[in-house]
Amino acid sequence: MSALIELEDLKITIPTAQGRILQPVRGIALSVARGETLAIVGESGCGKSLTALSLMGLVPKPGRVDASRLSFSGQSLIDLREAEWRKLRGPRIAMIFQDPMTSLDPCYTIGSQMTEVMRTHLGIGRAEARERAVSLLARVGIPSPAARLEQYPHQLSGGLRQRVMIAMALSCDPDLIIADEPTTALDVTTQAQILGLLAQLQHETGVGIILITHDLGVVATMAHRVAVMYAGQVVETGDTAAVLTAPAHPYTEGLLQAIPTPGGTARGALLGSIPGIVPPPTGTVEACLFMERCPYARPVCAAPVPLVPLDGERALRCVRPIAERAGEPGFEEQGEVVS
Amino acid sequence: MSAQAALSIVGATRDYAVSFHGQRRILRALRGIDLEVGQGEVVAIVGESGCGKTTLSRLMLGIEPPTSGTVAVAGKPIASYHRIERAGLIQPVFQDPYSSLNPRQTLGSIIAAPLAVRGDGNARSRQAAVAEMMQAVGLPPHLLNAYPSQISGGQRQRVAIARALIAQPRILICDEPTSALDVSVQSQIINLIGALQKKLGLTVLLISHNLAVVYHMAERVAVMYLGTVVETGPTEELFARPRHPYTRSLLDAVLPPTPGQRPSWSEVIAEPPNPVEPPPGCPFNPRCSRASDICRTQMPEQTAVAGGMFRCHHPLDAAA
Repeated sequence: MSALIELEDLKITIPTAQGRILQPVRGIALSVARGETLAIVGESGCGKSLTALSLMGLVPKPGRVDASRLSFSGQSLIDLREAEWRKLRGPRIAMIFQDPMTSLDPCYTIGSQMTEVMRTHLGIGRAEARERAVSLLARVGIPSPAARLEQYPHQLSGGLRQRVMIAMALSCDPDLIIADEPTTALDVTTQAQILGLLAQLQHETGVGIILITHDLGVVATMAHRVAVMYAGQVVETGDTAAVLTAPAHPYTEGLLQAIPTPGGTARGALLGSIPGIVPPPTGTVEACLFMERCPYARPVCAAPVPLVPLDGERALRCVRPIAERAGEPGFEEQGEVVS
Repeated sequence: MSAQAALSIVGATRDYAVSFHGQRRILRALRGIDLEVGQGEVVAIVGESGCGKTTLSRLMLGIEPPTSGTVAVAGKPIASYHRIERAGLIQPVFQDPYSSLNPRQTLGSIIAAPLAVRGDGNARSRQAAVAEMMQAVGLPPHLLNAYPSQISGGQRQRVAIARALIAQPRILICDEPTSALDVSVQSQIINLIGALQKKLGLTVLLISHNLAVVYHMAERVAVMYLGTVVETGPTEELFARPRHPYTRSLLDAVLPPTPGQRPSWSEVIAEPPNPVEPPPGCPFNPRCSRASDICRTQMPEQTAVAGGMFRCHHPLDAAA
């Protein structure tokens, strides 16, 4: 498998109006191969969406993107001009946003939004673009596709709109799709359909997918590899099955213990929970960023922690390996005490 | 029916006048709901968006009246209570703590609002009650004079819970109480609601589309589809042996965080119909693989089973 995206030491800094510097992303490395799905998982504010936007050259001004390496199919994306970005966005790298209610233009028909993209990037005529749009809509499982082209977004359900978004993302045969919480706004049954569709399309086309989500169930279902982000850093990465069955980072462990699972967790029992809140994205990193919320924290954690490769594809940002933590009180001891 | 029912809904319907393709039409959001909730019981209502779960919660809170049928709290119709009396019986916790708290009020005055409206005690006694309630929901006392923008989403939901409980209601209606929160915070709120429910003997109606949360919290589950309750049952039983094909498909769509359990994509079903034009017969028939002619013409009656009921002409095998 050849690498589609190679990213090393990505940092995003945003100066605020008050003169402070925010660092929502503090040194991310990741790679995605053709035909592969990488999930980036983490809670709100961990920098996962900004990381994805940096791959499209869409980090909002005055945000600054620095990376020691940022390449797509071997081509470096560092300091790319806007005109060059435009040739990548859409035809090579496509994005599916979270909310299909707001990411389609309410003033234009589905057909005109879909054909505009193809006519711009593929240089094809109106009739050909229309024909292609019909076959794309059919491919993503939309019934009576020709009639849908005449409709406006508000006439479609959430699930159908997200299918339209996927059809648009596919319209120029991209090499990479970035899907930012593609099913969060949808019902469970619709979620299963949309994820199934993405998996099937990947199987057919070999497109690489970066899936951004906070839902570990979606990760388990879809991703080959997973990167767990916390406070702008990757804290653990590796093969999905390995990370989810034997989490090495305390944060991953805490996340997994916090989710009720039918048949997995005891009904009504206290769920594990991670105390405290995410640290603000300011200042220099002087300790493990998870230290304050970590039940396993020791004085040794009070220094910056590097991401260290483990066996296989795994890497971990924690100085206290599982063997050393064994037997110490973990997240389950953090349950709610009602006085 | 029974004396100890905290909440009893009989034949409740709710119609809305809507414009549909430029025509005036009636949208029947609830099509005859029967549901009884015992004192101290935790009952979940599950279903997709548009199935009427939130409309049902508004009826239970007395925010709007049913078009027909009755909603009774502690044996009396909800409409017969004065709104201040009602507030001491039943209280809501809403989904989004970012929009359900007034940004211009301090947490102290938000939490005290139900007491102030009711005219309970004086400023000092209300402040004592607020301090006690903040402690009960795990909010540090120094946040008393903070504003909602200064606290996290999980803390906001704790404020919403404190505000709901300060009037000492018997029933708490939680409409998607955790879906706007991050995973690690979600579990704190689930633990908190569970602990308070046990401690105070609260009756909790949990409205959710997250079946994992429902499984964890509820003793009994009611599955809604297009304004109808299609199946009820004890949680364990319903999850292990669903009788209605819709319940089965909801359960199949749950994605556990366990690798290698990819659901069978082929069996997932099409989308729900528009409630303005519900299909004749069983509301689920256009999406159901078991549908036959009778399903397309006749609404299935309730079939009683141990601890619940289902409405289906071709139920799934109980032994399966």
